[in-house]
Amino acid sequence: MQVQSKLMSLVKNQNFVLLLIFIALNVYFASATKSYFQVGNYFNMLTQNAALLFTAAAATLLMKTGNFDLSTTANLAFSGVLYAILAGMGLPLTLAALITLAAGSCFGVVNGLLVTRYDISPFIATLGMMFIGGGVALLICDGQSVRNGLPANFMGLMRSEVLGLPISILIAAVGVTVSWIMAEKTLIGKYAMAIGSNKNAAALAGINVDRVVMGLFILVALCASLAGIMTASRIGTGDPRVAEFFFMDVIVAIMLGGTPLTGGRGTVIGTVIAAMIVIVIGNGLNMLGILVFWQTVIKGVILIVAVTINEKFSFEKLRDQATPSKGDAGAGNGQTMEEWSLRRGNIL
Amino acid sequence: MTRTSDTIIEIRDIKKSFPGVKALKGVSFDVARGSVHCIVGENGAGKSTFIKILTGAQPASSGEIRLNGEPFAPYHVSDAIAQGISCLYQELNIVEDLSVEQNLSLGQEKHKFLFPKRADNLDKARSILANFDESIKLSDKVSNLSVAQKQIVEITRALVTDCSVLVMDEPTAALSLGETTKIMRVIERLRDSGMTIIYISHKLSEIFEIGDSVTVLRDGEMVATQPLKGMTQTDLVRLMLGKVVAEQYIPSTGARDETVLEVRDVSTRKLRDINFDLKKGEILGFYGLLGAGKTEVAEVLFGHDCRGEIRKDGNIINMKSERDALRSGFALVPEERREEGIFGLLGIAKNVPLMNMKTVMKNGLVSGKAERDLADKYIDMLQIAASNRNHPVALLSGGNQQKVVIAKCLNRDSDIILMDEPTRGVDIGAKQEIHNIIRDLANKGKSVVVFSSELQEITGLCDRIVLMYDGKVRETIENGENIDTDYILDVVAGKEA
Repeated sequence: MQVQSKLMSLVKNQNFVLLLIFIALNVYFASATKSYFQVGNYFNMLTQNAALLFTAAAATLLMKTGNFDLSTTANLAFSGVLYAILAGMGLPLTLAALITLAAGSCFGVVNGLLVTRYDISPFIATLGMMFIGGGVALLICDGQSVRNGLPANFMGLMRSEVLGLPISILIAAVGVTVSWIMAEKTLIGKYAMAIGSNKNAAALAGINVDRVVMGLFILVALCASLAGIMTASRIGTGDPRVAEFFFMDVIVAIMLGGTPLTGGRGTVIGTVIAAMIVIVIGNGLNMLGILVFWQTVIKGVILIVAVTINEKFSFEKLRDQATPSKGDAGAGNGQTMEEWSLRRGNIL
Repeated sequence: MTRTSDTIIEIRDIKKSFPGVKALKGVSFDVARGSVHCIVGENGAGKSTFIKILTGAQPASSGEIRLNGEPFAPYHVSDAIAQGISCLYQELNIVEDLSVEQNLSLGQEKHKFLFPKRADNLDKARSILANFDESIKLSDKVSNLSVAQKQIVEITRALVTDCSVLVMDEPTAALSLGETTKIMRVIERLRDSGMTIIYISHKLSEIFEIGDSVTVLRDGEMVATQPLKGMTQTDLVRLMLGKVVAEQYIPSTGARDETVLEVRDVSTRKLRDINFDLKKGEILGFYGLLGAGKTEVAEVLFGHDCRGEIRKDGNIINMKSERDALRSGFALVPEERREEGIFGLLGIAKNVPLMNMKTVMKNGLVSGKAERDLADKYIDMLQIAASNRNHPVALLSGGNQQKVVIAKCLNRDSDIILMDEPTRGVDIGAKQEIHNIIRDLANKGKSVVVFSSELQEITGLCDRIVLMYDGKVRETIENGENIDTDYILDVVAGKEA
């Protein structure tokens, strides 16, 4: 009996289902093509997508608050170009990286200010920053990839290994772990959840909602900026047009991983497994020799399916919780606008 | 002011103004320690504003509150909590996706580098919870609890922080009867343990069940503060509503012998066995206190789900949506003018035809001339005061906005016009004009149903009056010269006949 109910709850657990899909995909690709199931290929996948993994993990926390960032691609491109320019000017790589991270975090500050201080929806705020950042990235390099004067060790970061592991995989592992600890063990994760679930209640409980949201926007911007630095050193140039679909991949991973756009739910683990699914599909299809354009189509399908599943889950939840309308409790003469707006949901 | 040990809160001349509105015009009363002190008043009486001041959500414009003899002027909700005043707001303020334990500590956690420390008051929380409802576990996810259980979690959260005054703003508004009884027992137990409770509700039966004393607010003023013992529900209602001056009632001129609408045994979650008829050319009024079910009746007539039978002109109609209701010949002037009535950014000429675009279409396109003509017709007919036809309706006065909403409904040319609080937030002059418009409509053969919480409006306007109490029709009476407002108040206050 108990075993059965445990099995049932396991089946209902979204992360478990995702893990099964991940394993199934691996089995399929391994049987379909010889070159897939090899340590080298997995290292390759992880190295290429390290940035996606840790950025999506951090952005899960942001999405839990009901916010998201579309400007990660722009930030990545801008940071890569800036890092290459600074390195080309002869700055030590560490200093160039620190300056780039500082500049990249400005994306988060602006996004956060727009959303918290000026009450602009995250869609508009970060869409605007996507254009601004993307444009600035093209401006500072004149639209050309930055190659001139790069030091010999420019590509060193991604080539070096620690304990036999490529450094980018280590960075991804550390980044994902930090996000996981933040989400599951610290108050930040709890507060993010509370804000996404019931912002009013969170504020009335004394949580500084604006500060939490602001901090998470900056965290995501830092990740995107680091992603830019890593991408630049991986490909050996500061390319303003690199990783166009980065922000979509981040959002696909988060939503497939079980975090809805409105927040209040979701796990970092889910995001990471979902990101791995997206990565494995891309790699596997490559191995099978399927056109890269098909991969874009498939990503779109995955996004829509993921959102549909999420919406259905949260819809059922909402219906169960539906509380009855307050009857005659109307807003009358002399009441504040606040009360008017509070009752907006009560449609006759 | 001398302080006696059994007064916990002294409120002195609290005033609060918003731009253009005086929400509180000087409220003073004392709250006895360890009592259940109720605050009642109709809509707009100032209850919510008062609660916000007491709990630190808004500052008062002037006046003084003393807590245990000390001046008390919270700047923030957490100030009030720190000094022992906690509040359960009308909307539940707990986070559905967190566990009970996580909710209890939310925002108040002790932590080290943001890693929460183990809460030291878990045993206390567990025993408080067990006291109220043994089935709630600290590890339960809140979204799996019933509304009453969530309420208990909120109460527990207040108790864990050692509050001495608990403010409850309509805690039973969303509860079933059984759950309400449960909360009543909880409140009694809290009072017996020495806590002071300030209880806001519009359900008079609850107030008489658990209240020790009551403060009545009306139009931002304190009308009375007195012990509930020895009072009747009618006494309380009379204090809440104030003096009712009967307006001159002019009967509608029509014959009123043709029945256009029959409602039989209609029930919903909040209504039980509603029966009434509506005649052609009649103004039928629905009167009852807040929560008696007036709005629900209007909802049912405008396409909400219900059990029972609605016949129009003898034929059973089955409405599933607002569109169905419109097609069946109903039109509604909604209660919430700004939310549901007007399209604020559009001008009169654009607002008026919206419920019946046919009236301004020419060859499949909207004709500007037709719009202007139509607007002019209604501006003239209803005496709408506006500088021009394209002036955004949001900028008109309340009375003129309401006339635009009425014009929009009239343009639909429905047989039955439902009017929910037709003159709320409208000045006296415009009110009289709107009443004249309604009477005119009836005289022209339309049937009008008026839902109002203003007795004066009902007795001055309606030909017949349906009195509601607690989701039921108590009685339907004919209006006339000898209408007995005292009797009406008795009925809507729930006094058994």
